[in-house]
Amino acid sequence: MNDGRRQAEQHSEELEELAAGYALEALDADDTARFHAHFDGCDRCRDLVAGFRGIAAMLPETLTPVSPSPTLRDRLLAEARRDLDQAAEPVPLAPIPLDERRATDGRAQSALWALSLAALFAVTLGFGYLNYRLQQQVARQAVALDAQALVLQAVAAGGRQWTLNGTADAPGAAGLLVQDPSNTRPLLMIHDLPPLGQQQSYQAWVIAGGAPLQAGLLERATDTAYVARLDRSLDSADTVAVTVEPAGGSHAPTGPIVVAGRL
Amino acid sequence: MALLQQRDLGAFETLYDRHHRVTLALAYRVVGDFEAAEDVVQETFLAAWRQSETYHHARGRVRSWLLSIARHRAIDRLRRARPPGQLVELDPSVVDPRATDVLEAAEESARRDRIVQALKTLSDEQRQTVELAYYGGLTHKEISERTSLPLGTVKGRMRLAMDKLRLALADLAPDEGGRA
Repeated sequence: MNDGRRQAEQHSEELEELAAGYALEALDADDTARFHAHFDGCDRCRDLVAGFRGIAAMLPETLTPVSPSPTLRDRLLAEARRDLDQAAEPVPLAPIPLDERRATDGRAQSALWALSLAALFAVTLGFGYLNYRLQQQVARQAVALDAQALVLQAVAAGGRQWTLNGTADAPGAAGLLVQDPSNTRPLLMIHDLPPLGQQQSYQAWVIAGGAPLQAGLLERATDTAYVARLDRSLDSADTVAVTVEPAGGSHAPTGPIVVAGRL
Repeated sequence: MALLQQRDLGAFETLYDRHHRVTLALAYRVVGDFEAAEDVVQETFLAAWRQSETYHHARGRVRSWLLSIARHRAIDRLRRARPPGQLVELDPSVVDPRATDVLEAAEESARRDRIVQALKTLSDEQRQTVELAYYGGLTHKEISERTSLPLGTVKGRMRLAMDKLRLALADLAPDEGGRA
């Protein structure tokens, strides 16, 4: 399997020249793969890239600010509120000040009252959490069903399919990549992936000529299944792979490849 | 940002109020269409809201983080809209090395003024090369084809331009981390 890695070269002026292009994401696929292989082991190039990225981040600060249409702010806030409503996490209750209650005259009665409140708190919290989990499960089932329906549609429409297999880091995993002729964004479904840590994501990569290009984060559909509409077309790609990355994803692969498939 | 990471709606409003205009300016500069640029801004702020844990203080300013999200989304949109093998037609102000609209509007802050002054030290060709990569999302090869310059010249110009900016602005720029 082509895992997008190649032999690292010794530092050279030519490689150093690529650092600016790498920071501006202006390298072609071959140069990206070449520089990326060298970059990890070269302090000089890592420093250069870090400095150049800092410069690149400043460039848009010189643009003349533009005002949006007045409704944009309202639309955004409505979306954010919807997110909060959907999360529907149980509201934490204030702890009961047991010590203060015990200090009053009706000590036994207050203690019983406090215990009742504590029990009510626990039950409320339990129901709230159960409700939250159920909502999450329903949402994930909907994602899984939507993805299955899309795959069926794509296959019925004559879409191309490829299988992806788990690597040594996820030997039980497998997946299906479908190119729907009516949609430029391929659909990726992977099942039996190992559980992720809280600060981790699965990220898809389209690899062309040894250069991995980020293709989007996978969305959890069931406990072990994930789906994604890839952000990249498969034109000129030879491999699609999924890696474990920090939450939110990376610009270049940093974690192990868990599934991959040749196109 | 700590409040945003706790899903505080007020913090989200503050984030938007502080940074939306420059985010829209960047998106518009890249995609060249106001409606599409607003879509990019919406996607950017929702991504910031939903994935605020991906921001790390040590890796740069909040504005840089937001603008990086916006740039990637805008360029992705540009690439999806661009048929394979065809280069995007950029706004002339992006490729015209004599364009001064951006430079003339530089009084907003001392920081901005410093960056503008540093950009002015570049030759027109160097600035054009950097802008085609940053705002146009073009690779060395695509810039070479676009400008009819040898590939080696494009690579050299980009390196020289970024070196000049790095030296001029070293005290303003926190390193953005060795990896993206």
